Amino acid sequence: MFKRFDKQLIELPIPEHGDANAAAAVQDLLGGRFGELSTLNNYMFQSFSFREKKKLKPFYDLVASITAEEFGHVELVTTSINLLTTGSSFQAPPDLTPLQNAKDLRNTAQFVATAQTALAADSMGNSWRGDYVFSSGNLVLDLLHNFFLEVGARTHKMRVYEMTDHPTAREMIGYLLVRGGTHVLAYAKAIEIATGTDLTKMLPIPSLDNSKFDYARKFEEKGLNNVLYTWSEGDYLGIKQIWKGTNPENGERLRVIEGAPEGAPIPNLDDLPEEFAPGITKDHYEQIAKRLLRNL
Amino acid sequence: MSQQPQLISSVDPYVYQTLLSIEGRMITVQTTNGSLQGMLQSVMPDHIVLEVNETPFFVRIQQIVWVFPN
Repeated sequence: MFKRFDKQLIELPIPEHGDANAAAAVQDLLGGRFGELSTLNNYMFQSFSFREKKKLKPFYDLVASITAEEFGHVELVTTSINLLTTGSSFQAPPDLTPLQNAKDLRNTAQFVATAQTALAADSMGNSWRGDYVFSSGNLVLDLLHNFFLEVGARTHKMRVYEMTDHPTAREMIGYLLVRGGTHVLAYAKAIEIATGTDLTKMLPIPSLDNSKFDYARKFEEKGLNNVLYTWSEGDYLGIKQIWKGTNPENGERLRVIEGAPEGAPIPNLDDLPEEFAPGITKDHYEQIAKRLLRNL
Repeated sequence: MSQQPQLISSVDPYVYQTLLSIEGRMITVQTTNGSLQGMLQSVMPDHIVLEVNETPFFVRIQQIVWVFPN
């Protein structure tokens, strides 16, 4: 089961002006085949359906604890999409066509189906799908799949980074490049322990070097590329048997931190009267407040 | 032909004058790259300064499609 905190993983810059087409591109990092909804659901189903989890505890602990982190990644990408749509419309009565600019933006569904927020879909509007989940039950096969999934997710992040220079998008991608790289390494180490194969020697995997990405640098300077969290008080400590030794990228010691990172406040989204959201007038709110306070 | 470089500047004189008449008011501006809503802080012959959430946006008049006062 999960316990929830009203925090997000890192602080995101609140833009004075967004870029709705950048938001549309970032959708791929949420609901694409290699998006955060895929990493979350892959590890979630694999951990729920894990066979012999007592005998293979470190591997179960790894997949289960990373599941919790992926929840936070889904939240962070969603929030960045919600911020990137800032300033895409103006407040005016319906007859002045306040959503007129949305007609020519890439993701019209974000303006019709949502109040300018994220969709569970990729950058072309295709829904995220359950068949993106690979949960074969064969430990080595699932770990190999997860390694591939993380490397693919990283490639997609690098490309979206190159598509937009918006600071909100880049802060999020910079952080996720670092954490995604950590997960690539975690699954590579798990495969090494499960099979004896050193993946760095087996095939020339894409580089995990983040030095070309300015927004990734500060997270690496904080050492976030050397850390795995347990996301729990007391459980999933078995990851220490996998996450050990040094990081091949920088030679620094790998560390397991029990618990979760401190997190940062989640930004407040302003009302959008032209989207009828949240659709609560001042009078209506006063009535709600009365009912909330009744019989306290 | 003169060898001297010449400065050519396009000014929309009537747009400029009309914008001056709504200085200090809340306005909505449609630009060639989306809309902005804020307080018209000042008007210059070639650009306006629009304050949105305490941030000044400098917008070229040449890029303005339409304006309405709120």
